[in-house]
Order: sequence, then C-alpha cells, then structure tokens
Amino acid sequence: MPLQHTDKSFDEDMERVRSIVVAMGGLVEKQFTRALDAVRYGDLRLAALVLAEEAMVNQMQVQADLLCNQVIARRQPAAIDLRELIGAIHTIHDLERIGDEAKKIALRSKGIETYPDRASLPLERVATMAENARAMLGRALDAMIRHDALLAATVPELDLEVDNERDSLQTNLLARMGSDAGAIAAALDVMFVVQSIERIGDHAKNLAEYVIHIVEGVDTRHTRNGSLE
Amino acid sequence: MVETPVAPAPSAPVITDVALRVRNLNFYYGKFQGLKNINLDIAKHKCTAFIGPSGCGKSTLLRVLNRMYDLYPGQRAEGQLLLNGVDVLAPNQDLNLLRAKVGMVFQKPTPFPMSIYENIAFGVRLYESLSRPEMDNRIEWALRRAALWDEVKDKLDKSGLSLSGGQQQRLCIARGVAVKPEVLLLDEPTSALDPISTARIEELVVELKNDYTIAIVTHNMQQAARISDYTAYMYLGEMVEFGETNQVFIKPREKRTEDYITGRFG
Repeated sequence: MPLQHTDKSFDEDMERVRSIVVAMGGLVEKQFTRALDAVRYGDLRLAALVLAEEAMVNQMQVQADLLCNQVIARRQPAAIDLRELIGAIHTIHDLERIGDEAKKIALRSKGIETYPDRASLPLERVATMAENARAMLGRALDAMIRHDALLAATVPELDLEVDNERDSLQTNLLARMGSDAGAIAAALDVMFVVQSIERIGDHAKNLAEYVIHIVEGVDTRHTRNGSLE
Repeated sequence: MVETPVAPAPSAPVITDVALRVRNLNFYYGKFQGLKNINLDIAKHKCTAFIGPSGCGKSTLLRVLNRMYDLYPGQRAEGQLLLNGVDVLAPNQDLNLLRAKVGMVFQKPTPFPMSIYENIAFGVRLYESLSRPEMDNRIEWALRRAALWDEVKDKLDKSGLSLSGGQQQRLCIARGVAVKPEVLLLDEPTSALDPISTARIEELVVELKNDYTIAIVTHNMQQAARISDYTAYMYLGEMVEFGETNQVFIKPREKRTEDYITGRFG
C-alpha cells in the first residue's frame, strides 16, 4: 500500500471506495455460493435469498459509482489513485454482473429441483467446476483487498480449467438431451447454470486483471493468458 | 559545434527532434548547489513541464535555459546546454541573441509602463530594424499569436498596465513571440490568474507548440498533465523522473514521483 496522502481526508475518501467495493464483493460472493447450493441441494429458500439480495447489489453499484465520481471530481487523482479509482469503477461493474449471473443460477435451481430424475444430472461435476470459479472470485477479491498482484496473477490459470469443465459438461449435457427427450428441460437448466458459472469465472479474471493494473500499471487484458508474464 | 557527451538516463523517453540538450548540468548559488547533474532533452515543438515542490530547482533550471542567472553575481552553471548544437553556456555566447532565441514569461505579468504597441515593439527593435508598416504587421501578428488581438486592436496606444491580469500575461507572451524565438520559457505563467484566463493561456500554449518549443514550470500538477507532452519531476536539485506526460501521470517509474503527484508528500 502506498504512503498516506498529505491531506488525510483523501485517504478517507479512498477508504470509503474500498469499503463499498469490498462489501459489494462479499455480497455477490455470498449470492454465488447460495445460488450454487440452491442448485446442488435443491434448497429453494437459498434461491429466494439470492433474488432478494439483487436489489441490494444494484443499490450498492449506484452508491459506489457515485462515490467514485465524487472522488474523481473533487480530487483529480493521478497515478496509483487514478488507477485504483478507475479499477474500482470497472470492478463495481463486474461485481454487479456476477450478481446477475448468480441470480440466473438461482432462477434455474427450481427447474432442476423439480426434475424427477434429479440424481441423474451431473450436479456434482457442476459443483466441482463451481469450486474453481469460486476460488477465482475469492482470490481476485483477496488480491484486491491486499493489493496483491502476484495473487491476482494466479487467477487466469484457473479460468482455463473452468473453461475446460464447461466444454466437457456441455458435451455431456448435449448427449443427454439427444438420448433422453424427457431430460431436455432439466439439462438445459443445468447448461445455463454451467454457462453462468463460466461467466462468473470470466468476471473474476477481469477483477484480477484490474488488480494487476492498479498495482503494477500493466494492462494484461486480452493477453494470451492474462497473467503478469 | 560540440559533441554530445552523455546520453540521458536509459529510462528517459527517446526524443528524436531535440530543441535543447541539457548535459551534466550543475548549478550553484554561491556555495549552494541548486541543480545536480541534470541530463535531459527538450523536444522541439512540444511542451515540457517541470514539476516539483518549492525549492526543487525547477525555476532554477528554467533560468539556466536562457542564462537569466547571468544577471546575478555568484551564480554559475557547469555542464552543457546545446541549442542547435551550440553550447550556450560558453563564455562567448551573446546573451541578447540567446534571449531572443529563448524567450521567457514570468509568474507575475510584467508589462512595461508604456503602450500596448510599444510593449511589443520595444523588444523587436533590439534585434531588427523594421519600417513602420512592417512593425505594425509584426505587432498584429504577435498579438494574434497570443490570442489578444481582438481584445486590444482598438486601443494599442493605451498603457499595457490598463489590461486585466490575464490580458497582461498574454501581452507578455505576445512580447515574447514577437522576436520569433525558438523556445519559450514559461515560469508559472498562470499562478496569478483566474481560471478563465488560465484556460486561455493553456489553450494558447497548446497552439504555440506548433511553432515554438515550450518549457513550463508549474506548481499546478493538473496543468502540467493538461498541456504538456513531457513531464520532469524534480526534487532537491535532482531530476527524479523525466517521461511522457501520459506515462508520468498514470504509472510513474519512480515511487518518489508517484508520492508527489498523488499528494503524498512530507
């Protein structure tokens, strides 16, 4: 972390931005976990909580954006402060999208839960894939809090695993749909869940790239593997 | 012509079209060393900004660039300052000629206590012998360059001191450009001006870059960010960092630069 500003109230402003980003990150992380558990265990109360929390996430997004705008307008930040504020604005956007994906997963949980042959769906494999996406999100948020570019740089490699799992699950689900017309609706629900998990992995990768840019001033977006190398 | 002895630090930006080369420059106020081994290239037809806390040497460096310090006993510069390949720190340098090539505008507007017309004509007469119509043309040209013509064209015989602060500063810029210099040195040219006058001067700097090389000292970091192509951060007589302005204000190489431009100082 850099030195304190000569004008301490600037530090307080930055701390307010960090706090709301971290709180928003914590909330969408919780939404994601609940949505996954709703699918895995068929717990529709968890799905309902995810949907209820969406309004909170949206409200936090608006508040956080406003705060970033205010700090930029009043402080005219440069260098690390500028990178951190621009990074926060990007992060807020991605967090809100993660919340949206969590909501989509939660909405699919009902169709999966009510499918009579639920045990035949590859829900444990989905859970394994989701663990990697959750690890990506957790690492990216930790890296953001600690300004740890090295930790952030470990996130993209997990994204490759998530992508591979998505591809493999999609093949599996398509085969199931081809052979069992009665399973199409439930398999499609699982397919959408898989897609949302993969999207959350992508957003987590974005968060990690913002951390690298904030700390190192290097833009790793759209590079081969998005890492520091 | 003299050889260029040492290239700037490897981390410095590569400037191919150089107006002024500063090499191994040291400057002394008596026994006090105000500048320590400064090396940089000032790019032609670009704006180079010097920032840093009070006493860091940025104004001293500007004063070396046209040997303004020569007016004061006990002040001396060592090293090389190459303008078109000629070391202008050499003892045989004609100072009047140098200052015609390297003009200067100061923090406080300093119009002479004479008419607007004479304020500009005075300097031109030192270097050129123009007929009245030629001089009239030069005055209009200089006032247009300084974006002041429309405001003063009907009162050229009025005192320069009757103008507003912002107009006076533009008059000083007109006076500077009237002798057709290669380099314009601006020492905090807007620190005494209101925001609108400041914006006019900043706009003017950007326009003047097409024809002149500009070096500006400013305490206003955002001003440096707005108008300069290159920025040098100085501290305690040293050049801590010199780079493209976009790079310096987004990702400075030196932590000391980052601390200063983000307001983490002292």
